[in-house]
Amino acid sequence: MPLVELVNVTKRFGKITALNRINLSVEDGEYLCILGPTGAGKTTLLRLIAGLLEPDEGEIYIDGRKVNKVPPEERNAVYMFQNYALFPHMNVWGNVSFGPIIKEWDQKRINDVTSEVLEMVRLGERKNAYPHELSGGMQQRVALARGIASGARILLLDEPFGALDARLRVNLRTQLKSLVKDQRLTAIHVTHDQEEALMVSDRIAILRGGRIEQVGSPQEIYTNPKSIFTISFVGGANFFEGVVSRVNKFGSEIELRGGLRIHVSDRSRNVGERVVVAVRREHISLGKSRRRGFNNLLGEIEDVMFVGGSMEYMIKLENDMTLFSRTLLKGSSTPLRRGEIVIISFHPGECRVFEYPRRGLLKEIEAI
Amino acid sequence: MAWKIIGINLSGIVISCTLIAFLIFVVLPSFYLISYIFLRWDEVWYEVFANPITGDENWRQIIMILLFSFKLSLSAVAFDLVFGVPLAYVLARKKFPGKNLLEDLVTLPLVIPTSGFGFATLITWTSSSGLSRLFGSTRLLSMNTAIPLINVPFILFIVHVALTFPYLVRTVETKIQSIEETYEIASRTLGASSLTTFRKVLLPLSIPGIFSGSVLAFARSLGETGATIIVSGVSTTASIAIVRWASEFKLSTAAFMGSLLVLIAWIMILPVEIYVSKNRRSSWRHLHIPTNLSMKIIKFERFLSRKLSIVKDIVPLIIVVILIIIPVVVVISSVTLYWSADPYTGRVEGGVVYQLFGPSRYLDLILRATLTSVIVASISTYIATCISIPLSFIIERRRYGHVLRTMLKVPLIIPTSSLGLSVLLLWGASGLCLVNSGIWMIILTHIVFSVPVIVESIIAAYEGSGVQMYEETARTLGANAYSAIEAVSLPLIKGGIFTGFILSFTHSLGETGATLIVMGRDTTIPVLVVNMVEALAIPAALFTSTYLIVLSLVMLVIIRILTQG
Amino acid sequence: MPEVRLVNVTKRYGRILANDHVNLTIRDGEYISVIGPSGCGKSTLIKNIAGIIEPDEGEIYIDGKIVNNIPIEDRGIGYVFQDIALFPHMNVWENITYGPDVKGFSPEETKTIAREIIEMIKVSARIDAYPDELSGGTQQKIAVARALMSRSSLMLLDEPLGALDLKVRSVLRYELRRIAKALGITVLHVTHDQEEAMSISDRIVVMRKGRIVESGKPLQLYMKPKNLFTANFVGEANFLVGKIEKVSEKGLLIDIGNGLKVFSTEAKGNIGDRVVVAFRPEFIILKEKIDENAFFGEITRIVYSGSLVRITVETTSGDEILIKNPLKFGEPPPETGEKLTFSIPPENVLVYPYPEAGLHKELSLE
Repeated sequence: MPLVELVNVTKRFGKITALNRINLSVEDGEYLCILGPTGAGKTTLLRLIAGLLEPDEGEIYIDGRKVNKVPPEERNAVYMFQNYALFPHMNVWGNVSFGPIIKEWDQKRINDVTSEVLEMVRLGERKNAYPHELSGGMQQRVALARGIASGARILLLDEPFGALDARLRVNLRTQLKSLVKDQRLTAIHVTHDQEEALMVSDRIAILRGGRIEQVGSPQEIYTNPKSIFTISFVGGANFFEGVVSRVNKFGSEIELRGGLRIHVSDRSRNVGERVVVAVRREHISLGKSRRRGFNNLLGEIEDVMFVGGSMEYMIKLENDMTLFSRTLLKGSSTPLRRGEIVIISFHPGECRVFEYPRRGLLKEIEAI
Repeated sequence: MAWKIIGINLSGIVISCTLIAFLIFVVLPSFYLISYIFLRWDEVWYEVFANPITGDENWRQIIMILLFSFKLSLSAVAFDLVFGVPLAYVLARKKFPGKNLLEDLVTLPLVIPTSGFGFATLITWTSSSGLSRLFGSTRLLSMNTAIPLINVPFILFIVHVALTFPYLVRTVETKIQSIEETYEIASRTLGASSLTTFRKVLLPLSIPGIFSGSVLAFARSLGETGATIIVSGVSTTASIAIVRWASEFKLSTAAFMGSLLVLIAWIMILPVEIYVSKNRRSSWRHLHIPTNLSMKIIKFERFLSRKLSIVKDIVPLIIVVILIIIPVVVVISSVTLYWSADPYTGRVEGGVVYQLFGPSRYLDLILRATLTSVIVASISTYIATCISIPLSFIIERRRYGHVLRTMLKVPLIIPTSSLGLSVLLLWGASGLCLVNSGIWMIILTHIVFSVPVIVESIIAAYEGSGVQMYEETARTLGANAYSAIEAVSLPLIKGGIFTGFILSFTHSLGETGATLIVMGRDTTIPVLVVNMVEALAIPAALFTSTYLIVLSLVMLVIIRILTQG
Repeated sequence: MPEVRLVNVTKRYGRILANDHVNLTIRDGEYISVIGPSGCGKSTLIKNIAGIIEPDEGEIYIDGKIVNNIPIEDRGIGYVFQDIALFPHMNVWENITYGPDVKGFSPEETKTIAREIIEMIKVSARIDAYPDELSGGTQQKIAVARALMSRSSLMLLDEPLGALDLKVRSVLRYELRRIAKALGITVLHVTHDQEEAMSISDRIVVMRKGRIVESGKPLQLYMKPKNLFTANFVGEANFLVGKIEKVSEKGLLIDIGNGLKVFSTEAKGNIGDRVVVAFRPEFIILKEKIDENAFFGEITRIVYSGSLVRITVETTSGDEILIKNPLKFGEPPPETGEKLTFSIPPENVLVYPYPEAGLHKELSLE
C-alpha cells in the first residue's frame, strides 16, 4: 500500500487552476522528486500533502487514511521551506527539540532524541548557536534534524537547495539522499533543477501547468521521455521539424527542411505525418568520417562553449539549421575549433519522434 | 494571502467573542454619533437651524468654525508635507550618528500629553520666561499674532504642526522602508541624480504612504483638543467647540458638529483606502512635462543634489529642534525659575513650592489625577490588548480581515472630542444609560482608540517576522493550532504587542479631548493642566507639564528598548 | 587602454574584510566573471566599482580616470540586479527609456536606440506591459535592455540570473554573452554558479574571503588550477593525500598509502613533501590496461544523472574515488559490487602542497 496517495486532486486559486486532477502515489521509503518550471504547481502540491492547503476536489490518503480534513500536525509529514524557517528565537537545541517538546514526551526521551539527531547531522557542537549564526548548509541540516526529531515519516522538501551556492548544492545532494535513506524516511522533494532531480530521486514526477506530464525513474524519464516538454526540460535536445516520407521494417525516413533526410528507428508514424524529431546533444558525435548505420550530416562549428566539464559545440547545418553537440571533456582530447567543418553523426535508435505539437514547437519548448 | 490553513479554527467561540467585543467597544461608539443625528433629527433641527431665539446662529457658527479648522489643519499638513517627506526619507535611508535620537524626538509629540506640550509651547513663545529671554524683549509673540495670508494664529499653527508632524513622518518613513533600495540604485546607475531619483522613482512609489500619512495628520489636527484649548486664545476650532457645547449641554449642536467631523473623516479615508489598496501604476502619466523643461528640471536637480545635500538633511533637523526641543527645555527651565517664587514680582505665592504645598494643595490634585490616569490607562489598555491580540490574528487570517482593518482606521482619525461625545451619548444617561460620566466612561472611551493602536503595532510585527511560515512549520512538526500560536507566533510578535501596549498606554495617559467630555467629576492629569491654565495657576501648570514630559520620556525609552530587543 | 582597474581596493564591515587589497584589471571589451562562495566579497567588489559603496582604501579607475569620489550616476555604467528592479510603476517602454530621459537624449535619439536595443535582445513583450505582467526571464531581459539604453560601454551584472529558473538561466546566459560581444562592451559578471561563469566568460576571477585567489581562462582554470580551492570550486574533483616519493624530469611519483602510487607530469616538489593529489572524475579512463596510474576497486554506488553515470569506487587502499562516465548507446551500464579497473592519465593529475589549514578547511565551500 502506498504511503501517500493523491486521487484526482484539484486545487484552484480564484480563477486559476493550480492543480488539475492529480493522481500520484508514493511508496514507503521512496524518494520522489516533483520537477517542473515556475508556476507548474509544485509548491501547491507539497502544501496539499502537508495539510497547509485543502484540495477543492479529490482525496489525499496517508497510510491508507483519508486526510483531506486532518490538520497538519496529525499527518506525520514535516514541511521544509526553501529558507528552512528555523525559529529565530530558539537556538539549535530549541529548534530540534521543538517536536519532542510539543508532543510532550518525557524529559529524558526529549534529551536523548535531540542529542542523537544532532549527532547524526554533525551539529552536536553547535547546539547553542542561533540560526543566524550558522551557514546555509548548517541551517539545512538543523531543519532536517528538527524534522527527524519530531518523529515525522515523510519529509516534504520545497527547493531544499534553493538558498545555497551552486557548487555547494552538488556536494549536499548526496548527503541529503543518504540521510533520508539511512533513516528510512519518505521524501517528496520539489525542484526546478533537472540535474538535482535526476541525481537524488528514486522516481520523478514531471509537473507542468498543474498536470502531471510523466512519472518514472530518473533513467526512464531521461531515456524514454513521453513528450517534447519532458525531453526539453530534462536534459534538453536538438529538435528537427519534418514530415515522415517513408516507413519500412527498419524504421522511418523523415524529410527535413531543405530536403535533408534522416532515419529513425521508430516506425509508429504514418507517411505524410508532420513530426518533431528530438536528438540529445550528447548523442551527437562529431568527426572527420562518416559512420556506418548512423545518420551523417555535414556542418560547420559556429561556437565552442565549455559547460560543466563538457565541451558544447554549436553547429550550423547545410540547411541553415543550428544544432548542439556535447561531449564530456577528456583530459587528453583537444577541443575542436570554431570554423571547422565536421561530420555530424547520430544513431537512428537515439532519435525520438513526436507528433507535431498543436501550439507549435517553439511554444512547447519555450523556457522564458 | 490566499493560503487557508486547515484546522486553524481559532475556534468559533474565540472569533465570535472577539468580534462581538470589537463591535461593541470599538465600532459602535465610532458610528453611534451619526445615527444619533438621524434618531433625534427634530431636536437637532430645532437647536441648530430653527432656534426660536437665535435662529440659525448655531449653524452659522458651525460653518465658520469648520472653515477655520480646515484652514488650520490644511496649512499644518502642507507644512508637514514639505518638511516631513524629506525627513522621512532621511530617517528611512540614511545612517548617521544620532539617528535614533532624532527618531525619538520626532516621535515625542506622539507620546507626550498634548495639553502639557501645548502649555510648553505657549510659555516658550508668548511668555517672558520663554524664548523672549534670549532676545531681551518681554514677549516674542502675542497669543493671537497671526500668520499673514492664511490668517491663522502663529502659536496655534506651530502646535498643530508639531503634533501632526510625527504622524506624517512615521507613516511615510515606514512606507519608504518597505520600498526596495535597489530601485533607487538602479535609477542612479542609469544616470539620474539623487534628487531626480527621488522625484521620479521614490516619490511615485511612496504616494500611498504620503496619502495615508496626510490623512492621518489632517485628522489629528482636526481633532486635536488638549493643546489647542490652551493655546487657542480667541479662536475656536471644531473640537473645542464640541467640548464647549457639550459642557453647556447643547448636546444636539455638539452632536451635529461631531457627526459632521466623523463624516468628513469617512469621506477622507474611503477614497484613500481604495486608492491605496488598488495596484496602481504610473501615477503621473498624464502630467506631461515638455522635454526641454524636464531637462532643465533634471539639470537643476543634478546641481542641487551636489551642492545642497547637507541642506536637505539639516533643515528638517532645525524644525524638529525649534518645534519640539525648545518648548521642552523652556518648560523645564521655567520650573526651576519659578521654583520658590515668581522671578519677576518676587511673590512666594507665584512659586511652584507654594502652589503645590500651599493652601490650594495642587499636589493632592496632581496625585489624585495621576492615580485616575494610571487606573484608566492600565484598565483600558489591558482590555484593548485582550481584544487586539485575537483581532490581529483574525485580520491576518480571514478573508474579511481587510474590512475589519479599514473599520479600525475610523477611531484613529475621528476627532477625539466627537468620539467622547459619541460614547457619552451611547452609554450615558441620554442613551443606553448603562454608565455614568466618570472614570468608567473614560475607560470605555479610551478602549476605542487603544484597540487600533495596538492592532497596528501587532500587525506590523506579524508581517515583518514571517509568522505564517514559522507557524506552518510548527504545525507540520506536530503542534496544533493553539500550541503553534503559543510556542511560535506569540514569542515572535511579542515585541509588537509590548510596543502597542506602551503606545496605547501613553496615548491614554495624554488624551484630553474625549476625556474632557466624559470625565464627569474625575480628572486625569492632562485635563488638570487645562484646569490649572484656566485658573491661571501658571507655576503649578509648569510643574505638571514637566512631570508629564518626564513621564513620556520614560515611556519613549521603554519603547526604544522594546523595539530594539 | 584598460577599461577598469582596481588598485588595493579594501572594504571593511566592522571587523570583516569584505575586500582585502583587491587588484584587478579588466581589459576593454572583455567578458569577465567573478565567482566564489557566499560571503567571498564578490558582491562588495562589483558594488565598489559601481559606486554603490565606497572603498575604505585603494583606487578604482574607469577609463584611466580615478572614480573614487564620482557619484554612481556619473560613472557611466550599466548595472543589472539579481532582483531585477524594474520600476514597478512604469511600463516596459518607460523603463527602458528612463536612462536616456534623465540623461537628456533627444526623443528621436531615444527612439532610435530603443528600437535597436529591443531588436538586439529579441524581447517579445508588449512595450506597454507592466513588469508584474511579465515572466521573470522576460523581466530580466528588459532590465538588461534598460541598462544598455544609456549606451555605456561597461556593464556590471550582479547575479543577473540568480532569481530565475535553471532552464531559463541556461538559455539567458548565452544571450548575455551574445549581446555583450555584438555591442563590444566590457562586462563584469558576478555569480555563485561556476558553470554559468565557465560557459560564457573570457576570463574568470575566483574570490575567497575577500581576496582574489586566482584568475584565468575558463578551460585553463578547469584543467590546470593553480590552487587547491579553485580546483574544487570550479568543478568536482577527487582529492588524495600523499607524499612525494620520487622526482624525475618526467614528473613526480607520489605515494598515496597502502603501497599505491600515482604518477603526475607536474614538475614542482621535493622528495618527502606532503602533498594533495587532485584529479577530475571525468578524466578517469575505465577498463583500459595502462601501466601507469592504474587502480583497482569495487563499485559501491552508482548514480545516474541524465547522460552521465557517476560511479563511486572503493580502492584497495580504502579511498573513495568518483568517476563520471558517459552512457553509451548499446553498452551495458555497470552495477554495484562489480570490480573495476581504471586509470588516471598522468597529465591530468594535479599536485598541491598540503594546506596549512588542513585539507577539509581548504576545500570548504561555506
